[in-house]
Amino acid sequence: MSATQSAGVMENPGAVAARPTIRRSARGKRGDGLAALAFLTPYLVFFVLFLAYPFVWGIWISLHDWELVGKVRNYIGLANYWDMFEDPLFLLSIRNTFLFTLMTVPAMVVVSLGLALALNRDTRFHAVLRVIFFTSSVFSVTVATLIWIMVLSPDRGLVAHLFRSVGMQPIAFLGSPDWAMPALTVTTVWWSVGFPMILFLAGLQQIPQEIYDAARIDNASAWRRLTCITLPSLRRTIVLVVVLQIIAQLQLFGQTLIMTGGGPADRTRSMVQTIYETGFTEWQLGYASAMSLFLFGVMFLASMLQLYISRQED
Amino acid sequence: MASVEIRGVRKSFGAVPVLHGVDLNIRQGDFTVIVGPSGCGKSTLLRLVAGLEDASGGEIVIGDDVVNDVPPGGRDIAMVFQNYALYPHMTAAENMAFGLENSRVPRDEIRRRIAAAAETLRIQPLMQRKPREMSGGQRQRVAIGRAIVRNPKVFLFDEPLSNLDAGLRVQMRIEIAKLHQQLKATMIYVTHDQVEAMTLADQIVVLNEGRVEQIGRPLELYHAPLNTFVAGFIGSPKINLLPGRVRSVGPDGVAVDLQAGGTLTAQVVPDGLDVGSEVILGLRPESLHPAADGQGFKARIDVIERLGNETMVYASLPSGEIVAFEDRKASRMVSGETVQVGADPMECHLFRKDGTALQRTGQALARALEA
Repeated sequence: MSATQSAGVMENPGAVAARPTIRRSARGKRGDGLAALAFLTPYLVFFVLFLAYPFVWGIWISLHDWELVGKVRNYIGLANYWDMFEDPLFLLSIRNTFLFTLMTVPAMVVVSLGLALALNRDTRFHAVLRVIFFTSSVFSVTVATLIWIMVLSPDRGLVAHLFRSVGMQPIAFLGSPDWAMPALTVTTVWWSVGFPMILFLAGLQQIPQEIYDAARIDNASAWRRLTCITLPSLRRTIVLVVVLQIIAQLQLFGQTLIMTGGGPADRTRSMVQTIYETGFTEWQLGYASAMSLFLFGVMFLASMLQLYISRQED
Repeated sequence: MASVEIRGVRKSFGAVPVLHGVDLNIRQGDFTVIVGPSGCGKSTLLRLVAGLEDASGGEIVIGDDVVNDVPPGGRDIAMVFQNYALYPHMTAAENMAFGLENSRVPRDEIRRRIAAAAETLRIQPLMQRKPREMSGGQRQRVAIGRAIVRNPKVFLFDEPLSNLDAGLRVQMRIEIAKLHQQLKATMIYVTHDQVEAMTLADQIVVLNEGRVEQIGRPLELYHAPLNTFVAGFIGSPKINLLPGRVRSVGPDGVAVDLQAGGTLTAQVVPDGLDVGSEVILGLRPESLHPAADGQGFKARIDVIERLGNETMVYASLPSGEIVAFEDRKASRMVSGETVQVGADPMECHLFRKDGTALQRTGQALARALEA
């Protein structure tokens, strides 16, 4: 900008009075730039050291047959990427991860939105409930999964009691190929529903009360108020929650590792678990990096989707 | 179109009483303005009529029906809000159609009503725009349009012009007045702006701390305020209220010795007023004028505002009070000068110490209302 302005002044020698101002502003801008750089440096150092460098290094590793320990470092081009899509275990973990994401994200959105709608009242009782529902998000994955292992235990679990009380045989959820994934979904929704709920509550509180007053005067039923006023007003929040949840659930790891170990019969094996085992159990770091970059690509697409949708609205 | 009757309506928020038994009659087709300072309960009263708040006591009657237990959507009213309250993700046309769709009005009828309202308000080009693509004035027109298409029994306006700039406010005020003439609908309009109240109303209700201070036609309130609150609230610049003591009561009126020095006479019905009792003299700025020596009181000019059509003078009395008066002759007064100011007894108001007004004589009132 300052360069353009200076060029303009040179072409127009009559603009004498403007010169000192422009010079000052150019100097001022250099000063601003230095100050900005000084403030950014600490972050940039961390960004380069812990994000940019490992990312580029990861791409480099993915192009090699690279063992975690030892000296094998053979450049093999894109071979890891071709292998990946012919590897039945990785393909199965992609399928499982996508299935889990497909089950968890809609459930998470519906439950967190429902909770937010129910708890969006200004009473002490509702404030206490909000805290209770958020508390589960504070637990570590170990605590959350252990709680659900106990709840779902076919011997002494809470669910087993419920089954017996209605005269049914308890299901071993975590040991059943059909029920293990839904059980992981329930655990995950229970564990991390707090944050999206808070996002929805924040979104709900942004909607002016006057609009609801107008809708009541316009004879809108509670259902019409929800579908015609609340949900359209929450569109941005819904998109944000969906994308954040897609990114989070694609990284499924802790729950499967602790609750099912990827089983039964690899039916809950996730992408991250396969990446982890390939890299750190089988020591094939190059291959694991290629898988990681595929996962990154999927999550990157999800983020771009959010950007695209939010730009469309503007 | 319907009448509205408010019978002894009370409202408390928790332990805090906001309205203490309000009684009000609004005739069918009347434009009633509820006016009062911030926090006086005027918006609450309107929301009670709308059904957006529940009354703690009393009855609200629209037409022939007590509507206390009827939800807002069933009261057949329409409301225009201060912040427009348009549905942000709907176009102007969709905003206007929403209420009619909820009431299952046939599509063709909705289209016809929207077209008619858009024509009345000259907002046809805005119909496909969303609220964020409109200016404040345009949004308010659409909000009024949304009210018109409902064809309600009563229109409610909650400070609809307070978010608009001064010029637009005057323009919209005129349009609302025209709209009332055209629709001849019952309208209740809440504002804190006494100019809006005076210019729009058939009837003004002055509310203060949850109580009705006075109900009457605009000029009635201006010329015969029942107390110092109404006198002070209606009229701009404000009425000058000067404390004093009764010097004499005679056929010429009640003569008052002002605390700030000087004497003025007010043509009021003395109504048992004793010599020596404390009173408050009310003098409208346009009633005060420079006087000959020995009449009225002395004041030192602080500021002179020459507005072209009128000249307002702000002056201090020896007791420190500020009085405002109109210098009709646009004489050559200068700041810092001490002048003698007086008033015609026929134009003076007199209030007891507790603020209640002494009735102006029939002759004085007739002259004021004639003017």
